[in-house]
Amino acid sequence: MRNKRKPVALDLVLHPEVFHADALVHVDQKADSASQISNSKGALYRFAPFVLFLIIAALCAFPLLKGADPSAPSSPLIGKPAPRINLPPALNGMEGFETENLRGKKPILVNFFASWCGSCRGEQAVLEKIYTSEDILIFGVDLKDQPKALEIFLAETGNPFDAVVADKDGRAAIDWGTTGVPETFLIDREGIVRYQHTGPLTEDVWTRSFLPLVEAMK
Amino acid sequence: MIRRMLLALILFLAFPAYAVEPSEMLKDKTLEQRARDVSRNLRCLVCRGEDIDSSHAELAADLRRLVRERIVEGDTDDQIYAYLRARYGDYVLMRPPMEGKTTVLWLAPVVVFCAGFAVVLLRRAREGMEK
Repeated sequence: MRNKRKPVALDLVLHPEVFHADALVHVDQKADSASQISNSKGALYRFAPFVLFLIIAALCAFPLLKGADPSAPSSPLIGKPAPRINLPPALNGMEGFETENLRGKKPILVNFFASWCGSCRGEQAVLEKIYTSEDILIFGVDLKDQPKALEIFLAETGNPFDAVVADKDGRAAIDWGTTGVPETFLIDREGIVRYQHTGPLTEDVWTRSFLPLVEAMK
Repeated sequence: MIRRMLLALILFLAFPAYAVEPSEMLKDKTLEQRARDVSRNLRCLVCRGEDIDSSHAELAADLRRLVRERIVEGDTDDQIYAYLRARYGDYVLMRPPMEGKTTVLWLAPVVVFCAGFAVVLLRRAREGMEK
């Protein structure tokens, strides 16, 4: 082989048999001594780094193309019973909910939101649509909010919730493994968490991730 | 001159910023120290690269409070880690635990180092033979 340096570590991995005294000459940097043997295996050595590159590139491309955020926290709650929740209704005269309400006749969406959260505002229309089209309950957990602000927020966006509770100190948000608002959980009739979505619930997210699970529950 | 003095003053005043607010701290010094140690092993899930002891994110502050509450209630450190792992996964720990799927992660540096060392030895041996 006429080129300069060959990756010795790669040789070691791919062809451990070449590492006897004669073959070692072959991985030498001196072109003249190397050319004696390398003609037979030259092609292999030439393409080995390229093949290795292709393998690594494929390994990297797979999750990238899937569009997943590799640094996103996992959702260990999926498949587990919904965490406990014991909070007061967010507004006077409003329905609240507790842990025992998370198991029942219909699947439930639990949506963590707040009036101060911008992307929660855009999410309301999607929730409204789900509310009218699906036989599903929608529970809201209002995070670190003022009743007055929530009232205005719900009046402006319309209220897609069957019940809303107030998480004043954010403890329920931690209990549910959320990292902020908005986040949305899908709970089945047995009270088991089936999906957790971090970030705004778009129609795309709904049809791609939630809907197949909801359909399967029917 | 004034600029230099200002610069010196600014640099002099650049103390390290601690995220833990005095109001968050526990009165008991040993318990507070435990809380600090536990906090340093927990990742702030909003800022990702920081532990909750040094993060100013609101979630980190909430988690610091939670850690202290649990310590006061008598939880062991492992119980606190287990509680958070059940909710946020291994990612909440600054040091991933050594188990099944993470063995590669922990052993890879050792393996790569040994492989490199082996290559160096082989090259040395080869050079010796050529002479």
